[in-house]
Amino acid sequence: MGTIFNIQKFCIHDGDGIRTNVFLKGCPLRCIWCHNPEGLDREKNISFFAERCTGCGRCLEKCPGRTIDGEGKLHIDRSKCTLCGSCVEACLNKVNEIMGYEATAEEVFADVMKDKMFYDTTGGGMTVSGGEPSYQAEFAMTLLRMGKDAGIGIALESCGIGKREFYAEAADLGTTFLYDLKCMDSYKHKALTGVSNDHIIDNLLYLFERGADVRIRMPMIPGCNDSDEDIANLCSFLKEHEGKYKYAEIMPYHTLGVGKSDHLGREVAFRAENATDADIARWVALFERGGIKVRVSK
Amino acid sequence: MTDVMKIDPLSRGFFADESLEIAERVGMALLECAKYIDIDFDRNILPHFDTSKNTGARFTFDDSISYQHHRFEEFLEKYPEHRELLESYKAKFELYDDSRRNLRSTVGETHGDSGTEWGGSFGGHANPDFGRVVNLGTDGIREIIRDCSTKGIPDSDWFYRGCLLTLDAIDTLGDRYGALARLRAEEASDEKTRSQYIAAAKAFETVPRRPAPDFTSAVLCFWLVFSFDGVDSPGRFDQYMLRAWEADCDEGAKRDALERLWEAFHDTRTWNLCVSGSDETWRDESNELTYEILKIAREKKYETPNLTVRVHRNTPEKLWDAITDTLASGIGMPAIYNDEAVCASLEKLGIPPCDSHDYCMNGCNQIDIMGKSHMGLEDGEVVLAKCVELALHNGYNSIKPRLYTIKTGDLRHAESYTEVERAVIRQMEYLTYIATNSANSAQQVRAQYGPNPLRSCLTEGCLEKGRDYRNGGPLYNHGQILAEGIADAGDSLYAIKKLVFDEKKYTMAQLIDALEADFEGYGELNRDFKNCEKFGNGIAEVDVFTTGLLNRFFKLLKRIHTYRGGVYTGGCSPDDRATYYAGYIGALPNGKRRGEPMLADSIAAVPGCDVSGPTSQIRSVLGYDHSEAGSGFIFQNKFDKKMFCSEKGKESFKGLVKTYFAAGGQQFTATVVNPEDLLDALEHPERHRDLIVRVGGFSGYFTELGADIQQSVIKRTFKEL
Repeated sequence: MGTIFNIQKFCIHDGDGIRTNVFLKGCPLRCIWCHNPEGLDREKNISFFAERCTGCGRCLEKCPGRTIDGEGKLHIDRSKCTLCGSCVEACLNKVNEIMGYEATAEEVFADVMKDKMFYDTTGGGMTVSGGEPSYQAEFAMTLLRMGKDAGIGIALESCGIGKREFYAEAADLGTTFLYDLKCMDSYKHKALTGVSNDHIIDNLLYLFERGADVRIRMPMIPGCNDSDEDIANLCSFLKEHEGKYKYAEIMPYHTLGVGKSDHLGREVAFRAENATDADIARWVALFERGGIKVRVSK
Repeated sequence: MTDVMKIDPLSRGFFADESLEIAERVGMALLECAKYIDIDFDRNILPHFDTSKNTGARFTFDDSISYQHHRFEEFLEKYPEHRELLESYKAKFELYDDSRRNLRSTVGETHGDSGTEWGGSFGGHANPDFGRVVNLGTDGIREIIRDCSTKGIPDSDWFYRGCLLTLDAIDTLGDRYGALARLRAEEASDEKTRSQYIAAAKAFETVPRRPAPDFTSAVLCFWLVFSFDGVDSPGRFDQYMLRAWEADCDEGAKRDALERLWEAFHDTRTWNLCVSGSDETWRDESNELTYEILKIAREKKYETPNLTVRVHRNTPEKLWDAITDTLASGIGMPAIYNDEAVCASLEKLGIPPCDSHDYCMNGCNQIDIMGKSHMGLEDGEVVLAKCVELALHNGYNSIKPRLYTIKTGDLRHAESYTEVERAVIRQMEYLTYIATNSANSAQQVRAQYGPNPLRSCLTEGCLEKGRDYRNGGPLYNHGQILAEGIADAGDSLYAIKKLVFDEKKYTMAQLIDALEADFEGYGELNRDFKNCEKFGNGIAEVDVFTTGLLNRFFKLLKRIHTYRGGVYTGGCSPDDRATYYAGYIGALPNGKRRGEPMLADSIAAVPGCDVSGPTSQIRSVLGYDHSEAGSGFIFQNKFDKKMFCSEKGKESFKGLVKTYFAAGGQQFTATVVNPEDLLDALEHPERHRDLIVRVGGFSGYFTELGADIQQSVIKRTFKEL
């Protein structure tokens, strides 16, 4: 049994061909710009879409965690929420949504396999993503194994924080790795994500050594990890290991995660505007100067 | 004093000898018209004339000769000195119309504008083989007539005379255009125009009597006959024009001619042009002209003609790329049709592969066989969502409360889901028969009163059988009835089954009360019915309610014969009609409220209900039996323009369509838009006059669409991102 928060069909930017992404809940990193905050906790969460609330009060009956203020606006006290779901049942306007659900690997995989005909014609398959899949290592590995046995493409999107054995086993299965590289400076990495990058780089070097199918993904966050120096450091690392990865791709910052955090009642440590075309052009040019041709994720 | 010969030549020819059969009289009318109507060249230096100019009568492809009563006063004022003549024509046409009407009123009935169904009110599109004139010339057709008419088919001499008169009419127009071109060449002030007129003058020395020797002559000849026929659809243009294209060594002149023709297509809102395809051995038929046409469509970015590309097992990757690039240009075209599914559906109607592979599209998106058929296009329409509404209200229309159809039982006390389903099917059968009976009576009227000798000359079977195009002459005479509001009906049935009979959360009486109240005061019930799983998300047990209903409708149609001499086959309507019909529909168990302007988008989901992405919706849609849809499916998809900006995106698009087709999908259309552009276009229409979106069956300028349709386009676009 695993906890997932989404199964997304027709993903075309996370590996070869047409793919289905399975998003596993839980991540040990706390990147300040997190794009998928609903994937951070291993446990389920409740999202509260206050803007849809009409103040009808139907949810108040069963929920001790709800209060209504003088203006008829409802508030949620998350410390009292037991995720019982009575508010979801009562509400007529989809104000409440439980993020995450438990499912067996068989259930998840059966859903993934519904699109098999698309994988077959395009060389696609399943991408296990998160959160951070290694946080539910056994579940993630079961899914990958099922994919391998069914003859579809398998890919793993990972920040690289998992145990060595996890990556070793995945590589044995012939997994494609979409591997995050956020910042080469270990101190800065810790400040931005909560962990140092030592272990992450080690795992990456291990995959390089094994000749695994690795594609590098670099989130570019304005003002965080995109200084000339940051990019120059990334370049020299990539240059050193040229040929050991298929391609390197930059993932420009976008603000979708901010709204999601707000609905989850989660503090947002970092707010910025969407990356602009000028930002992207600058990044691409800096990489080029460092001798690295990067792709830009759409 | 006006030249009397110029006044109403169609009427003069038509009433010259009333003792003759109508087909021959139509031929005489066309010849008289060709001799005396005003002719001109348009801005593209192509023939331009109006067969209804200065005439009370008019000639159209769907009604043959008819009289425009509303123009009588106008003519009287214009030609007071010819009052007697004009009045005599009017009186004669009144008698003629009476006899048409009398025949009609004895058969069939229809609900007209009640938004339930219709049948027969339109004479139908078809694709005559214009290549016959371009490649054989009228002399070549005369030869066929000579061969056929000597076979001694009883009572056919008048039919052939009508055809010969029509060919004479085409020649007459050609001669007059040759003379006019010579005159214009002399008057022309610039060299380019002069040379174009000289080329036209030269062309009309050969065409339309003999085969066009080069592409410019072919275009002039094609356009002359195409306009005379009434500007319908060019059909498989890249096939029948190829001979002249290849014979022409003047690269500049032939591209110029194609470009001028494209402008003329746009000026006249020409319907549907189809390129590529396969022959019965699955040999690919794409050629140089195929690519030229896709290129010109990309460059000109016009919303017409409606462009169709046929693909199949041997379609080269190069053509797939050209298709993707053309879609990426944002014109919402071409529509992609899968020969593997279309030919199969036609073969199920008994059409052999040698002819099924000659199909093309007409109208919005209906399947026709070029130069070989008259299949209605379309004969009528039935709104499936309305069948559910009528069943739930025991035959009463909930918008205009009165008994509309038949009483199929008070479902408040229904004890099983089967009872509900049976009532819906009875309503569907009833409305279908009303539509087909009505269509058949209209076909009978047209067979007797609306012969079309021009189309008889250009449609295989007519000359061979000695029978008119309207009267069973063509090789294939099937009919087409379209379905509307398909998923709305299926989703409603699924919700009833689930919430009333399986989970027993509500009773039928509660549901019907809620529907009558338009869900007012039934918030929770409305939410639960609305939140039920919906068609379009690849959930087989939900989808089967929608696909099963349509498959059943198609089966029913196939058992009903057309007056013309075929059987009915089904398809679906474009989604601009969905917004129209939605206004006539009351509250439905899928959660739709009265008059809400959303109905399912052809065979796809109800807008906003497909929340699982395109692959899931494709799986849903594959539940329909595509090989039964002889009239054609429309599967409309919308994509963010960004997807077409990367190679990976384009590859994925192709992969999506190819997978769908490999699994039996019949048709795929895609609108490629930048969603921000749509929103901005609502605020600032003036900035987005060229923004084209696909509306199910056709493409249209977004800013010119009705507000309802605009909203529907936006709703779908944002759902699928």
